[in-house]
Amino acid sequence: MISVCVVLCLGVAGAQGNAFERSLEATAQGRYGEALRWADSEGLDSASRAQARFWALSRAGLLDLALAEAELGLEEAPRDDWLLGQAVEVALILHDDRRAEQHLLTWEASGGAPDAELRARVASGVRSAERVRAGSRRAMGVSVGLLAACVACFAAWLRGPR
Amino acid sequence: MKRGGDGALLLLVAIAGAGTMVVELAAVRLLAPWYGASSTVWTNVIGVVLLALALGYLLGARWSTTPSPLRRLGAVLIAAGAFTAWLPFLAPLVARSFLPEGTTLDRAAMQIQWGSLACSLALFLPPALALGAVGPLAVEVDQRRRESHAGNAGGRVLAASTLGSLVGTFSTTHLLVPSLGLRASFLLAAFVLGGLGLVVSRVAGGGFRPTGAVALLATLGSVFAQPAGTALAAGTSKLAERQSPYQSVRVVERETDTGSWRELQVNEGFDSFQSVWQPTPGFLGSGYYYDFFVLPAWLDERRSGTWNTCVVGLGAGTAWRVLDTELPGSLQLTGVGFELDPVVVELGREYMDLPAEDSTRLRVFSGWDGRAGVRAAGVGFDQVILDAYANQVEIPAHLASLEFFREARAALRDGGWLSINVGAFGLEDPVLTGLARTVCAAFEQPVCLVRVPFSRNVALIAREGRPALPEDVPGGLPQNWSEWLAFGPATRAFDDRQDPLTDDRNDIERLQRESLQRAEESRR
Repeated sequence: MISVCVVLCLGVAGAQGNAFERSLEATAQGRYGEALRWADSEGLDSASRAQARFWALSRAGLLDLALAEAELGLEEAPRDDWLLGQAVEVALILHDDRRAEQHLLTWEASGGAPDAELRARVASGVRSAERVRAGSRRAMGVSVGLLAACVACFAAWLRGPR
Repeated sequence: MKRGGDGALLLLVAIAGAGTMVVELAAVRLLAPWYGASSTVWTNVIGVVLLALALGYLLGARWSTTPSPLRRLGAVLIAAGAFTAWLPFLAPLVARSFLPEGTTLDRAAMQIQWGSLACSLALFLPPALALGAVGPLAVEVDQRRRESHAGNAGGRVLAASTLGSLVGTFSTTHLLVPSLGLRASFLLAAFVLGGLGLVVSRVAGGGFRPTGAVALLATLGSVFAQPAGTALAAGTSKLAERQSPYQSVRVVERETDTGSWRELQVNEGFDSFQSVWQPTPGFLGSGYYYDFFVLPAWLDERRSGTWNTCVVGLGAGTAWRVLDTELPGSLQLTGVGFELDPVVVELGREYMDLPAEDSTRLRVFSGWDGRAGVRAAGVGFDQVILDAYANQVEIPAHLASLEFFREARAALRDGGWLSINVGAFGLEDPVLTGLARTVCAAFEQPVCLVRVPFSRNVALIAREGRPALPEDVPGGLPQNWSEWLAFGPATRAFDDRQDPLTDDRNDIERLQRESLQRAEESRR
């Protein structure tokens, strides 16, 4: 789902690079606590910190926390293409279709170019969530309608035998 | 009906009573693939049937004043038969109109209340209403024929109807559904009711009216219709499907990189399973909570001898299969396992390597409730495992109380472990914290909450006589657990003993609803 290559291709320059790369390295070795410590170390800008923290949490399998981390990072760097893309992916995995759509739209608005397959997955997720919501509304309507019909029958039939 | 038909009328009423119970009890099973069989669904189904019966009584009362109540009696029986016959075929269509195919379990759970009510009203109101009308019409027929008092006729009819309901109740759960299956049970009830209706119509001299013919054709048509079952996920095939006294159970197989994996699914065909089997036993890997049942053994000091377990909610034996291969040192797995549903055990033995009946090392008790099992299992266990769920999302209240956890604690040796699989959205989930408070209070020790990566599960671990999470986590644990237990976002020691859930006051169902609502709200 989340490609290591994408992360390794991230351009993190200068003094930041060391802490960032160490965080990625610790994540790759399953030392998630250390990865977060490197991510939080001084010298990393907020976007790099968010990327490194997101990466550690998502690789650890704590996807809800990873998504929250990505969103925190996006508050600081709202046009961060990589974080936006990852936020869309993770939101889809968590069946959080509305958030996936919201991040996709932000991504597109900021000039990003999500691929067609991702767009289709988000659209399908949103449609599916909307169908469930519509089904719930329908169920409520049918229930209320049928219960009202029952009450009407009661009222009519209680008036006594013809 | 002539004088000789005295007993016949009461028999007819008794059969209608039995038919009502077939519809009511099997109704929940019919909805279970979409909405489960929780107390919410039961409440909706029972409520709708009672509402329909009340309406039916009124309808029957009105029709009882007509010149030939016997003819009306025949008509309502035929109608009840026709409506009942189509229930297994209409249920999937009605349910899918509210809950589309491919809906995830957590989303489906949000619709349980209104969805199951709407389905119950649409499906079960008509047959139950028709069956409700039988009583007053039969009373009228009896009273006119015997020229007796209304109370006398009413009492006789009520007694016959209630006895019939009694027979219907037991035969549906223990005979009809397990031996015939759901569809055939409904069809049998439908044909008996419809057939009786035809006989009564004939006796009443009503002939064969067009409405009766339509109802008969409708009933017969149902035999040839094929109900739409719950869909299988892409890439899976069904190995077996059976009806048990509790639920529909099926084993499916899917191809993976490591061979054909099998899953045992109950009722709902959503993104969940009750047990899982892989060709080579061992850790199942990321996303599977079963692996975490092994963690206590690795945290324990013992490395040789037997590791004696008591599993509540054994399913098809996945927990044992992982433990058997992955215990540390030379520990040998022994134990007892309790599974409420005998069909799950049958399928586990046939398809998932669950130990045979004559195994003395791992003894399976099928048909046992876990609470009674723990009390009877004895003492001195190294580990009690609780993995009991109804409908994949609900922990039964009697297995989530202070009293139960005290019983589990009493079954452990000094330093023994309790492991619970909890479905939870993170470490602050209301169900998880409610259970953790209760276990803390029962064990009088801090417990440990460990998130299962890539899943919605948390392992809740408690230890008899000491905190579950050691101050110094040992190195070299498998599955990267040494790191995981020291990783703040994944693991938490928990020590709050306030407001435990008890047998007397247990709001686990409210907590479960709250958990799902929170998850849904976070998506808005």
